Amino acid sequence: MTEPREPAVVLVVEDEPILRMMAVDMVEEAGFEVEEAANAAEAVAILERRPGIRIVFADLAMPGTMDGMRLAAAIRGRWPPIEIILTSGHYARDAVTLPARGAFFAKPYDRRAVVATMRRMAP
Amino acid sequence: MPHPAPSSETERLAALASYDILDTPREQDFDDVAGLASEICGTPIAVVNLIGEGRQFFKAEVGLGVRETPLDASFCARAILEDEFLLVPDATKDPRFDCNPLVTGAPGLRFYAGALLRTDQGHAIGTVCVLDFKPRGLTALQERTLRVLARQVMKQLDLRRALQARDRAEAQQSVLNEELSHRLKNTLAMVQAIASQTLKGVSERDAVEAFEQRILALGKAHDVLLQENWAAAPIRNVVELVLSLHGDASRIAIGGPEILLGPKSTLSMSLVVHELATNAAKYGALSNDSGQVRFSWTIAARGAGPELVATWEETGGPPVTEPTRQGFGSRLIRMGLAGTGSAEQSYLPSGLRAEFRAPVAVVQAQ
Repeated sequence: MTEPREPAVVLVVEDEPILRMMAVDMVEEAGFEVEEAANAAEAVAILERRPGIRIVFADLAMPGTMDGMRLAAAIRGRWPPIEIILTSGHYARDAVTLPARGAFFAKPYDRRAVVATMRRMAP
Repeated sequence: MPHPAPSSETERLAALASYDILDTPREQDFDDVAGLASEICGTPIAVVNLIGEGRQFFKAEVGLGVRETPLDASFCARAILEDEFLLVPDATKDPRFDCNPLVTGAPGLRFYAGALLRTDQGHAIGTVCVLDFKPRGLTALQERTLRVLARQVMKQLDLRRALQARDRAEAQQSVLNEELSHRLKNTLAMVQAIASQTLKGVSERDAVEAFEQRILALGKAHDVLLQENWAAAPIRNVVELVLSLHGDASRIAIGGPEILLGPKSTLSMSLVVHELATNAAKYGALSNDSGQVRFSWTIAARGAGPELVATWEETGGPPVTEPTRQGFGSRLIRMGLAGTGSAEQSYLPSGLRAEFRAPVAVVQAQ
């Protein structure tokens, strides 16, 4: 008998509380465990203490010293196995330089498509 | 001819700076002017110069081989203080120049004639001038040529400045559009989030889903419009982006000539195509594993002018019947492209066929 696998953890990083709430619900309903952060600094703090995070789902445009793009770069440097999904109302896909293996969804995003990508990244 | 009031040096330099021409590379347009001045006046040297702060810059020159000299040794700095046209037949006999090192020493300049570059506001910013190593004069035609060339150079500078101003305004507009679009899309995302929270307990999941998908279709339409700077969007991009929300793209073939849709038509086309694709996935050709959809458009001649005719054709789906209930989706479809109300739907044995017609002038303008 194999042990039942722990559900993968998704870290949601979004500064707008209402959007974060929706994203958290979406991730939970999809069967993942969820951590949430309101900015990149919080996200890094969570990544440092919480094991098991498989995917970071982050807004590109966030206040603070680090936006989603730099957060993605930091994750690629420090936690290379973690998958990254970015979202933004500001950019079109063409204008975004995605991190390796990264995915991008323009806001407002199709929740089904985001969940499908998460399931592909953390089956 | 009365002269405009002499300007302060600060104002003059500001006027010159507004043309953004100092230290720019050589250009054919100005080289041609210097070349023609030299040929027609029969002088070894001709220049188009601009008088900056403490120096003069040669935008074009023939026979000088330098592009800049300090002002204290310049003929032209003096010319600026003079009339519209300054003629110095022999500089050694002119008290304004007989101590100038370019005259007393090498290269021994003797003759100078220059026509002012004067802005509409009366600021003198440079000259078109010819120089020679021997004393001489100019014929009336030669003098008139220099004056005409100076006016043409000024026109050239004015036109370039106007174009630059337009480009800058367009760039600013583009940044503004982008910012507005960003806010709009964030607002759509907020509407989506508020709806998903508000409608959490609602049991009609179909209606909730339909609402969310329509918001997404609207978001896609705004994506296309942003890419095109809110001017006009290629119909193919509009259709492709909306259909990207609808799963298996290989089952929907699209095609037709390049047509640009205005912003309003982009939005209505997005919503109509979205509803058609949604219905196809629920009841029509995309509800089974084998059905196909073809969405094509063409331009057809009509009495009043060309019409955009777009056709949505489903094949290979289950048998379809006309819905008895006219929901919002059906009404959106019936409103057609650009709200012109020309939509014909036929529930054929092979599947739904919907045809939309709208005047090309309307879909492009709105």
